[in-house]
Formats: sequence, structure tokens, C-alpha cells
Amino acid sequence: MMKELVHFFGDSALQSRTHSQPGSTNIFTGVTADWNVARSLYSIADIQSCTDKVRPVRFGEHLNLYELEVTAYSSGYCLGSANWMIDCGGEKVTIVSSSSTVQNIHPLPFDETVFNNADVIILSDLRDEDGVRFENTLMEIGNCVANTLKNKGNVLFPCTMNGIIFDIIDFLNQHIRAMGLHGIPFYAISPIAEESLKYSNICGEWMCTERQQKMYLPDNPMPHQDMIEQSSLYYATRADSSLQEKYQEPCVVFAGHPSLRSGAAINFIRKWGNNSNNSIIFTESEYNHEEAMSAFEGLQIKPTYLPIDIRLTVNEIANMLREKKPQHVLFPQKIIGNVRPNLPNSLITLYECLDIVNISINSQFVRTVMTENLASNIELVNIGKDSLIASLNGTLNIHNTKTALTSAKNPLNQQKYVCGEFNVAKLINELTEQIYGCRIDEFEEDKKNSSCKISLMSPKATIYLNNENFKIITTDNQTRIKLTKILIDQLVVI
Amino acid sequence: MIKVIPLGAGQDVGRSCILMSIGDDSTGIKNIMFDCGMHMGYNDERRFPDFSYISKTNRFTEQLDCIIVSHFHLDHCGALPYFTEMCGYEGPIFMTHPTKAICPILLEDYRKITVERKGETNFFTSQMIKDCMKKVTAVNLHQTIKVNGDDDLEIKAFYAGHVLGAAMFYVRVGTQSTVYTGDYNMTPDRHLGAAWIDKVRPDLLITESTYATTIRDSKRTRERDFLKKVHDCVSQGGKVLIPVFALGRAQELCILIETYWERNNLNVPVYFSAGMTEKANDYYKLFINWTNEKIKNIFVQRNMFDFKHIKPWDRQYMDLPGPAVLFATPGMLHIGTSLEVFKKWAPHPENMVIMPGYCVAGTVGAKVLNGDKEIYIDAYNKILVKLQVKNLSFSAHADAKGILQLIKQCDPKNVMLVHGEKAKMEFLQEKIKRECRVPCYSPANGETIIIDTPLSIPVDVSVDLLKRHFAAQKLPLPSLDKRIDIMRIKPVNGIPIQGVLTMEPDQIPRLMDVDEAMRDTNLPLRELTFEVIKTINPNKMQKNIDSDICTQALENIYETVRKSLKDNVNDVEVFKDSSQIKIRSMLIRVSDKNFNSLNISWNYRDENMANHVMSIIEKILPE
Repeated sequence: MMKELVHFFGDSALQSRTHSQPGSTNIFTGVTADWNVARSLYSIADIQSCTDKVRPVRFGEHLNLYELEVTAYSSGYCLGSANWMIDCGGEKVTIVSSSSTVQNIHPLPFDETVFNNADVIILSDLRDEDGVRFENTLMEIGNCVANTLKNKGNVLFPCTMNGIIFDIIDFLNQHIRAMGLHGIPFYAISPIAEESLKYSNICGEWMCTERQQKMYLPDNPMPHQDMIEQSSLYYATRADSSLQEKYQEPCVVFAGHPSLRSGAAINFIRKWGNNSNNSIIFTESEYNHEEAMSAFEGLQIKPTYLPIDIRLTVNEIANMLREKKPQHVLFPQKIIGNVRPNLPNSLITLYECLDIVNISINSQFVRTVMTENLASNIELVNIGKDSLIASLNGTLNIHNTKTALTSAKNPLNQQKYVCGEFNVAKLINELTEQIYGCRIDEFEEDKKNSSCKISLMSPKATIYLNNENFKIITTDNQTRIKLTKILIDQLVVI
Repeated sequence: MIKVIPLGAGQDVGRSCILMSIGDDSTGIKNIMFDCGMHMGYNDERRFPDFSYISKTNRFTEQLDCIIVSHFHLDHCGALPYFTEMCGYEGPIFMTHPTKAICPILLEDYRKITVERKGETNFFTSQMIKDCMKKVTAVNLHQTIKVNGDDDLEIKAFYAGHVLGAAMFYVRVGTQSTVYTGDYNMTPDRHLGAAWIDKVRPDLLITESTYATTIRDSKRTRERDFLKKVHDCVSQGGKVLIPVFALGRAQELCILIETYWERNNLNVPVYFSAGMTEKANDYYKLFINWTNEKIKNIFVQRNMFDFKHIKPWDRQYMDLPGPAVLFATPGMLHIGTSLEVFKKWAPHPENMVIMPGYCVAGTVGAKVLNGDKEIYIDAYNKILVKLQVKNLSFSAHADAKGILQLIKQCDPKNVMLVHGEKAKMEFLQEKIKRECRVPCYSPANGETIIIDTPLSIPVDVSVDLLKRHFAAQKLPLPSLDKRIDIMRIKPVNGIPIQGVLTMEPDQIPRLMDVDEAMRDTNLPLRELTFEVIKTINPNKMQKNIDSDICTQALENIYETVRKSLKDNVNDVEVFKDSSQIKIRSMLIRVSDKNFNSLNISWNYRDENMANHVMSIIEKILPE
């Protein structure tokens, strides 16, 4: 795609290199035919050097990036298109990019498991309304092409040579044959046509099940490869003499660029523009066909606008998310302007370009493991109803983002806690019973604050009891230990 | 605990089939079968693994959690349709996409030879092969798959390089893990890349050991050797027979011959006896992504598997005069075209046979390699072997160096050898124990190996607790005056953690902060604090005239406690100023009410540490 872009609009003679944002289609809006002279994109060499730095991953491959685990899931939009799950210590964020649940297209279907246990879901490239069904649009395109061909006209598709166009080529091939039109050649004309067509055919693992089955036979998973082998589809880098020997009319041409500002599409408009038998069909929803056509005047060729947009709609995503129970769903503001997703308001956060959105996730627990050694040293206390409790002092080991609890380096670090119900009378009872010659000198009870003070003459000590706070004051440690033992006897010590 | 039993490939090559039980109480025991192969050397029931070992009553689906097939060679997948369609195993089966594609072709070929040529009846049918393959789940490299949706049973494939689509499999059950290599090759060749695995530190590595004792010279030398032998033979008018398996080595050697023929402008005919595998090269064209980088990068301009010089073989060519080169299947000369042609060409000394792979004992190929001059095919037919016999180690197995390299790469705690000959294995076993310092086993078929793995219990740790402990962790930064030794700076890999563990029946134990735990259990938490007024006996103190007795006592306590705690617990900080010492909740200060006394207070939480400190104080300040 990047190469195609550069071939169409890059490599200009000007040395001043203004870097545009790659992947952003906005750079085409309002461009003029000589736009490519004014600005230059990155070069083919830049693309190579850039893609050399890319680490390829497969769906379902867990990547450990420091403390993050990142996993790609199929988004069903085109070959290799992915949504991402980022897992940061148990907190899961799902990032949804261009995705599609349209049936019967070539990519591996949308994988809904990307939403499983996600705390936050960030949505980006959505469609606001449901629009026409893909199958219907495809059928209309088919009829439009068939009618033109029957009138001995030619059809031009201004398009990029990737993605849904593979399905259009396949469908048209079957459709016009079914309509009794045989021997109509298809031409794919783009600097990357050969590469794109051939490369897609070796990516069978990234396609839907039916295509994978073909690959196992071994048949070409991409029907356009069969068409190439049967000489019903030809590819060429540009509309020049190399095309001449295999060229015949009427025919169907797929040529770039959909903005009609560069590429072979322009040659074909010049060639066919004055005959109303010919058709030009715009299928790419990202480009404004009126603006594209505005560069040419007095054309007879019949323009048809049948945009194909297979992206997920707000409604589709809302339906999917209703059962998934995320804590936050982030929608792009500009899409939600037109349609309200059918989800609880508390879930939804809107964002705009350059917004910084802070989200607090209160995930409760993360799973780790403890070693046998540590477990065997834990003293569990039964606190009723089969519940057990224990104080634990260990070391949390971190290795390659995998954690494990092991024995503590030193038991002195072990902390103890006391809890449970307490009875003062029982304490006094126990004190007199267990300490020989114990004399309680003073006993003050303040019922209002439920606090009391017990002063002992022998051994000399004072015990303060105040709600949850107990305090023992002594002059020697032995007495303290003795009193503590009596005191905590009633309580649960962990 | 991990328990492994080879049903095949134990101290043997062929019929690979290894059973593994892995897991503990928290995950449950999982049973996994690695490969389900047949033996080339047998035609009776010994050709398949003895599955009755798994279940006497054919209840295989209950017994096994999954089957993992490493690659498409029949000694690794040949018994699969038998096991799924005739024995009734219906559970999941995993293999890579190319294996899933190619496996049925080889199985069908094997079935044809067995049923149609040898006339056996009780054998799997074509339909059974198709039904069997429908049960297979295809996997991608590095894709983590949860078997049966079980979080505790995870498998992941790594590139093995041996043949198209060959994979090594990492299996994790809870905290226990195993790597099964299948067959692999650590050196890249003309069409495939080298095996690669991450440092997964499995409890057990099960590796093949076909070339346990061989250390091969460089690939380039071997290639040059091969081409020279072929060229010499054809230039003297001889015929060269190269027995190969249709998929794998054949493509590598074809690329080699193709480029050599092109470079040297040779026109001696080269044939490829394809037979059932006319489409063999098509698989390579569709699965280019599984070959090596070079082939991948140039495939748009030129698909390396479109051969110009290599033509399909016809039986009539067998008797044509003049030189020729023929790649014929199968590779062990035990049957089919390669054996047929061998019979014809063997009696002529100008001809040559090049054995580029490994031959299972008992096959004609093995006898040829052994140097036998008269070979009996059956009771009545013998072949006189007069042609030149060359052996070239082209089969894509790791050699001893490669096996050790893989062990170092994945860093296992135990190693087990399979898929090799007993004597060679023993040699390698010693070498591994010596050089890698890990226990190494090589069980025979049916022999059980038990590997103890440390038990580990899953715990859910409260995120709040973790965050608090992470935040409290201070990096041991060197002070300014110290020289920074860069070698000593390393990431923190263990932090002390303190919390309360709660356990409910049938639930994973939870570790959390004490306050959280108390909230959950509805128990009121009590704070118990102590105050001990310690009177100093001035007569038992060494007098220092400069300072008063309490300050001096405090000073002594500070020095001793700090030293003692530093030896024991280095994450407890001891603070001191002129009138007090603070260690966690413990406060030791000069009493303002009582003369010559220290006031020592602490919270019961720190009882362990306080007791330790108190015993020190008792020693310093006796009554």
C-alpha cells in the first residue's frame, strides 16, 4: 500500500521532503492534479528501511514488551488486519481498529475473543450507520458491469490494489460468466498489481476457512490467481505498450488511483471518457467521487457511485459488547455525534483527537503462583465456615514478566495480626486465674467510649482496652509476653 | 510431575509416538500424545504404536487431551488415521498449516502401496484419511492456543526447519512445561530456514537425536561434493539415481541441480519421478511463507519452485541410453519407482546412486549404504549391486552440535532423547550431562520416565497490595561518593511482600492487604501495642564520662541492632536521632518520666522483629 502511494504520489523531483502522515487518507482531500509535484512523500527506500524494522507477529502470539503482554486478534477487515489486546498486570485494554463482520469475504473472520475479560475497550474506525448490505452493493456492481459489457462498453474501477477489491474481482468474474458473458478480460493496472495479487495468494493462513481448505488441496486460495493462470486477468504496472499485446475490448479495468489524480485510471478516462456506453464505478467509500470527477470536464462516460464500506457499525459493536461486561468503552466523538450506541451511559467515554483520557481501572486481583516451599510454611487458621486465613510473608520474584511467590529471605519480616471478638470480663478472669498472686489494683470502665483501663500491682503493668486498640505497658519483657499470651488467647492470631 | 512414555521412537527411529502426562492438583493431569507415526521397517502390527497402552477398552478420547503432530513425515503421522478412524480417538489434533495440507497426500500414497500393491485389507481407506484430517486444527507459528478452551493447557509452535511446516511444540500446563522438537535442523538450507526456539526454560525437552554422534562439515562443502559427484558421473555417460522423499529434501536438491545446470549450461536431462506428488511443488509455491527469507523475497519475480531443467519422469525413459539424473521416490529404496529403477541401473558400474538421507534398518536403502553387493528383495529376487554408491548426509536433522545448541537455546531442566539409535544416544546422553549439566534420559519404548517438578499453587494477589509493595521498593542507588560499578547494576527481580492469605473452599487462595482481608472476613482487626519501660542499671554499664547514660545506651543499641538487622533483613531501615531509634513501628526513646529509663513501644504486627530487637537490648542492658 505504501509503495503504491509512493508510486502514485511520491518520488517527486523536488528535494524538499515534507513528511506526510503515512496511512492518513486525508492528504488526498482537495489535492489537485499537480499536487504530487508540490509535496513529496517518503521514498521506496524509506519504506524498505521502515518495514525492515517491523517485527512480524501472528494472531494469537503473545508478545512480551517489558511489563505488557500484547496480542493481535484477527479483525476481519483485510489480510492480516488486527485488533489488539494489551494486558498490563491483569488490566486488559482492547484496541479495536478497522474491523468487519461481513460474511463471505477473503480475510480470516473477526475474532470476538479480543473482548474477553477486557476492562477497557477503545474503538476507533467505526461506521455510524448500517447502510446498504454488502451483498446488495456487490450485486448492483455486478449488474452495472454486466449491463455495460452487454452494450459493448468498458468498465473502469478506480481503486487501490488491495483489500476488498480481491473479492470484487472474484465476484465479477463469476457474475458476468453467469450472465453469459464469456471471454471478457480483466486488467489490474497498478505499480504494485503483480506483487499484490501474487502475494495475497500465498497468505492462505490469513484467510477464511473456505480459502484455507483450498490451500490444503493445493488450489490457489485466491481465485484471481486462477484467473491469471487462465489468462482472464492480466496485470501491468502502467497503461503502456507492455499491455498492448494482451489488450482487447470490451474489458474491465481496475486501476489507480481512486482520487483520479494519478495513475493509469487517468489514461482510461481519456480513452473512454467520450463514450456513454462506458462506465466508471467508484467503490471506495473513502474518496469523494464528485471531487474525483471534477478534474475532468464534459465526460460522456457513465459514473456510478456504489461505495463498499464493510467496517463495523456502532450498532454492531454495541450488540457484541453487551455480553462482554467491560468497565469502559471509548468511542470517537465524531461518530457518536450521529448515533447513540445502545449501551449503558456509564460505560461510555467519548474522545476526540488529541484528548488525553484518564481511566481508572479497579481490577482486583492478578494470578500468580507460590512455591511448595513457601506454601508448606504457612500456618492457616480456621475462622469458621471452612474459611482459612493466614499471614503470608514472601518474596515476589519477577522473571520475564512471569511472577512467582517464593519463601521470604528472612522470617523476621513476618508480620502478625490479631482480630476477632473480645470480652473484658473474660480477660480479667483469665488474668487472676493464670497469674499467681495477680492483684488488680484498679479497674476503670468507661461504658460510653467502651474503653477500660486495668492496672495490675503484681506484676506491675497496665492494660488499656479501647475499641479495637489494646495497649500493654510493662517494665519488663517477660511480663509483657505473659500478658500478651492471655490477651490474645481470646482472639484470632494470624 | 511429568511422566513420559515413548510408544515409538524410544531408542529407535520410526513410529514416533510419545505420551506425556503433565499437571498437578490445581490444573488436573493432562495427557498429550506427541506424533502418531508408523514404522517403515515393519509390515505387521509393529508398524503402528501399541495404543492399547493408553486404554485397553479403546476409550482414547477420554484418556487423551490432544495429539500434536510435528511434521508430515510418515514416521510422525502415519498412524493418525488408524488411531482416529479405526481406534476411535475423537479429541483435538494440532499441526501446522503445511503439515495439514501435505500429510493426507503422503498418507494416501502409503495407503495405496499397502492396500493396492501389497493387497492388505484391514487398513484405513481414503475416506478415513479425509475424515481424520477434518478433525485437525491448523496452527500458526508462535500462536498460543488454549486446548479445549482450557486456560491451563497451552501449546505454541516454533519453526523447526526440517521440512516444510515442521514445528517444535511448547506445551504448558499450569507452571509445568515441555518442549517436543519433532525433527529439526539447526542450519538453514537452500529452501528452509533454521530451527528457532525462545528461551522457554521447560521442565523437559524431548529432542530427536538422529545424528547424535555426527558432526557434519559445512553445508557448502556438502553441496559442492554432491554436485561434483553428479557432474562427474553424467559427464562419463552414467546415470545418477537419487532416491528422495517427494517433499522436503527433493526440493532442496532440485534447487541445487537447477541452479548448477543453469550456471554450467548443462543439457543432460534431469527427471523428477513425481507420481502421486505431481503437486508437491505446488505446496511449496503456496506455502512460500514457510520457506526461507531469500525465496520469500524473490518469489514475485521468480518462484524458485518453478523448475526449468527438471522434467517429469516417464517409465519408458528407464531404458533410454545416455546420461541422465533422476530424483525418484521413495528415499529408502524399499518400494516404488526408486526401487524399480535401482534394479535396472544397479548392475552397471558407470551408474551411480546417491543416498542423500537416512535409511531405516531393514530397507534396501540401508543395505545399499551398508555396502552389500548382493541384495535380496524377497526370497527369489536378488540385485547385483555394481554401481557406485555415494552417501551424502543431506537429511535435515540437527547434528550433535545442533542438538547442544538447541538445548542451550531453550534452557531446559531435563532432556530426553528419542528418535535415534541406542548406542549413539548413550554417547550423546553423556555429552549432554557433561556439557549442559542437566539430567538426560533415553528411555526405550514402553519405558516410563518420571520428572519431578516443583509443585506450585496458584494465588490471586490483590492489585492494591502489589502496587503498594512495588511503590515501596527502593532502588539500591549508590551514594555519590561511591564509584558506580556498572556490572553491579541489575534489575530488581524479587521484592519482599507481606499480606494476608485467605482461603475459601473450591477457590483459588487470595493474597491481600490485612485491611482488605478483614473486610472480606468480617472480623474486627485489633491493634495491639506495647510499651516496655526499661530501666538501665548504671552499674552494669561501661561508663563514658562524655555523654549521659541513656544516650550511650541508645548509641549501643543502634549499632548492634543495625548490624544484626543488616545481616538478617536488609530491607528494614533503622532510623536514629539524638533521643530515639525507629525501626518500623518500634520506637526506642529516652523516657521523659522515668529516670535512667528507655521507653520501648511497638505494634504487635512487628512482634517477630521486636522480639529479636528486645533480645539484643536485654543483652546490652542487663538487669
